[in-house]
Amino acid sequence: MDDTAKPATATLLAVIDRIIPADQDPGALDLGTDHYVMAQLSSQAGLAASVWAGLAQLDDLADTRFNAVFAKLTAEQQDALIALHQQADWFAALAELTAEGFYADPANSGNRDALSWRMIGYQHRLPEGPNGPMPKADMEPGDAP
Amino acid sequence: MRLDYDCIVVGAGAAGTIIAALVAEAGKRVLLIERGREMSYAADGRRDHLRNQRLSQHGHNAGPDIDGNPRVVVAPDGTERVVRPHEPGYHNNAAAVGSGTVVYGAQAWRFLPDDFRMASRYGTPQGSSLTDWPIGYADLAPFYEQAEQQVGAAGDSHGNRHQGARGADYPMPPVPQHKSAAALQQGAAALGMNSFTPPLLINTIPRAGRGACIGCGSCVGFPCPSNAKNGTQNTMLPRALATGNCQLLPNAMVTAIDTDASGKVTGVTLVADEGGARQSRSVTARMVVVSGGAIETARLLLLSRSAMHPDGLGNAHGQVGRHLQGHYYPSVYGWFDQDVHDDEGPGVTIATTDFNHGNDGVVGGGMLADDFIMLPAIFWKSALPADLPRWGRPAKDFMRDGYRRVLSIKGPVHEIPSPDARVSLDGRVTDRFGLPVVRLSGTTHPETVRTASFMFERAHDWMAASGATRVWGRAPVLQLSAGQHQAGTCRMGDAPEGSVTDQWGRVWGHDNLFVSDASLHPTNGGFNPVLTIMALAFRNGAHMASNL
Ligand SMILES: Cc1cc2nc3c(=O)[nH]c(=O)nc-3n(C[C@H](O)[C@H](O)[C@H](O)COP(=O)(O)OP(=O)(O)OC[C@H]3O[C@@H](n4cnc5c(N)ncnc54)[C@H](O)[C@@H]3O)c2cc1C
Ligand code: SF4
Repeated sequence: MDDTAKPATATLLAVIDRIIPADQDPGALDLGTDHYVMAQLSSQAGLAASVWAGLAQLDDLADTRFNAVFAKLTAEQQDALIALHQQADWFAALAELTAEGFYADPANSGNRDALSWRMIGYQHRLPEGPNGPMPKADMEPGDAP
Repeated sequence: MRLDYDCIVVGAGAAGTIIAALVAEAGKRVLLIERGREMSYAADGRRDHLRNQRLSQHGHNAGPDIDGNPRVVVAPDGTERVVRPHEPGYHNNAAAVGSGTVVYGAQAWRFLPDDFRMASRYGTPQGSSLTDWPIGYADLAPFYEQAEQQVGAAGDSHGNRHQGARGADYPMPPVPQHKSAAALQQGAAALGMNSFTPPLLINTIPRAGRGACIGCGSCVGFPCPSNAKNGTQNTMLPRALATGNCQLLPNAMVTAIDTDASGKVTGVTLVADEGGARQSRSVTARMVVVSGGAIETARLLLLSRSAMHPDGLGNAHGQVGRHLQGHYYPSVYGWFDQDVHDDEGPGVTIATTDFNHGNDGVVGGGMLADDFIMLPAIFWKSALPADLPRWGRPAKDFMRDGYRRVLSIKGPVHEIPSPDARVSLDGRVTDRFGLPVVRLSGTTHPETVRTASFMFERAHDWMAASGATRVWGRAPVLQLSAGQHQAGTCRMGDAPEGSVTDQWGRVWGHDNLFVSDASLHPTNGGFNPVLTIMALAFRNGAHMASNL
């Protein structure tokens, strides 16, 4: 089954999209940060459980308030619901993972082409590129060497 | 019986590698044992911004491994946690050939003369173990110079108006100053403060057969792309090996210091991966030098129990592992309306020592400086104001608009040590070799928090005077401090009752067992400690070599 077809995954992607939204610069989904977040969640079972539970609450709230799933709401509606959860541990952890992936080196798979660094104005100044020297085994398809 | 070696050094870090080089150059046979592995830029230079010695949320790049090396941390309220090396409270430095010096920021400070006589200058606050060093600045000055010349320091030789007398100038010119220093220099001048470019163990010009710094944007936490950062692994280790007298044994953990029936030290027992299998064996030597860093050195002495030494080696007076200290590091951030960010690493370009001593109403003080170039992920985790939401447009705007407009001022505070801040052995948890792990307990003395709070305010003033329109940071709170600047657990002194070694690092009651690393520091100065660790190693290593 296509992962994005699962309602909970769609909610997760929608929330990640609001954590670092696209504007004149790319947002988290544009840089593939969801891959980083998914990888982290799949290796941290306890955290993953609380995130999925939190996302389910968001969907319930979306249903009660707007009679729709979270992913189908407008950005303003989504932000309003997230604001109600922003103090929750699961949301703080998810926002932290999203930012980690988005602002880290591209080889962590959440910062495609180091575009977040271009946005903020960080220069790596390494001869080999943004990841530094990469042992072959660590390289993902599509990584700049 | 012919002994295997003249001298065994445990730990190839800042101090141990220097000892090995000096003893080997004196013609003695040395075995240098290191639990970590050898690193190189080609194999280990990868910039993993989430797994490194500066941001270790998900692991380290310079050891130790996440699995098999736990510690137990006892909180002030008595609750206990088992922590892995990358988790909060572990107080890691590194485990690698060169240890922290492979990846450090290389700030190369001499302590000030009064740093060696804190008790004489300030008295000993009740409940603290604040004390004088058994030696003074003048005793160490020639060896500071050896460290600066032989490991390789770059700095402004005359800018620091509080420094003790020095002989030769730094062998290399200081790192260049740019926009951030210009802003902070203006603030310092407005407050009448003395400021100057801080010294670093970095080749600012080609030297010793290696290139100059290329100004990369990720200095602290990573190996150097141009091999310009001078650690012990690319300076003193090659010297040790070039003698032909020194054998380096990486990936080997010393599990005990061996003694005979009379209690005399005879060598060490180690565990090494040899031919794919884990082998334990004993090696003999005339002298053993323990340079495992302040936490692991104390652990190894405590682990080396015998009928003659039931509480561990050097511990007849219960001093081993006490007075654990590091540095409080009060930090402020300031927002400027213009771009104040420098692109050229390492990034530390301006400092003051005006507040190290002579501050009204507090004991001691500390140095203040700007910061290394912050990795974006580190900026995210440390530089955002507490009231800023961590999601949505406000967070993204702050990163986009703020990364080049925010500066930091921070600095290490001279700690007022407590005997209750302590390394002991845990009775329950063991490591991958089945050995009892380190148990960390206690906190610094409350006077440290008062001094740190004072320094936090000085950093705030400096930032505001430099034109920052908003200044923020987290006020210091009482806690245990050790970390990368860990020190003090085998303090040297004038008498066995209150210390573990004499002024040469020789463990009381033993003629052939030495400690040489930050464990020896009775107090840890208001500066990053490594040049002092190195200077002591030059001093004590020469003494050891002449006594073998
Ligand atoms: C990222 C980073 C930045 C830093 N920046 C600075 C800076 O700018 N300025 C500064 O002054 N300091 C800095 N430091 C701190 C500096 O590296 C330490 O103060 C210094 O390395 C401590 O020296 P040491 O000899 O006491 O111990 P270490 O250098 O830690 O050496 C101890 C070695 O012993 C090994 N070992 C321990 N136990 C055993 C055993 N049983 N068997 C075998 N081997 C063992 C360890 O693996 C380690 O390699 C930094 C450190 C880090 C990690
Ligand atoms: S800033 Fe200079 S010394 Fe530091 S790692 Fe980069 S190139 Fe090396």
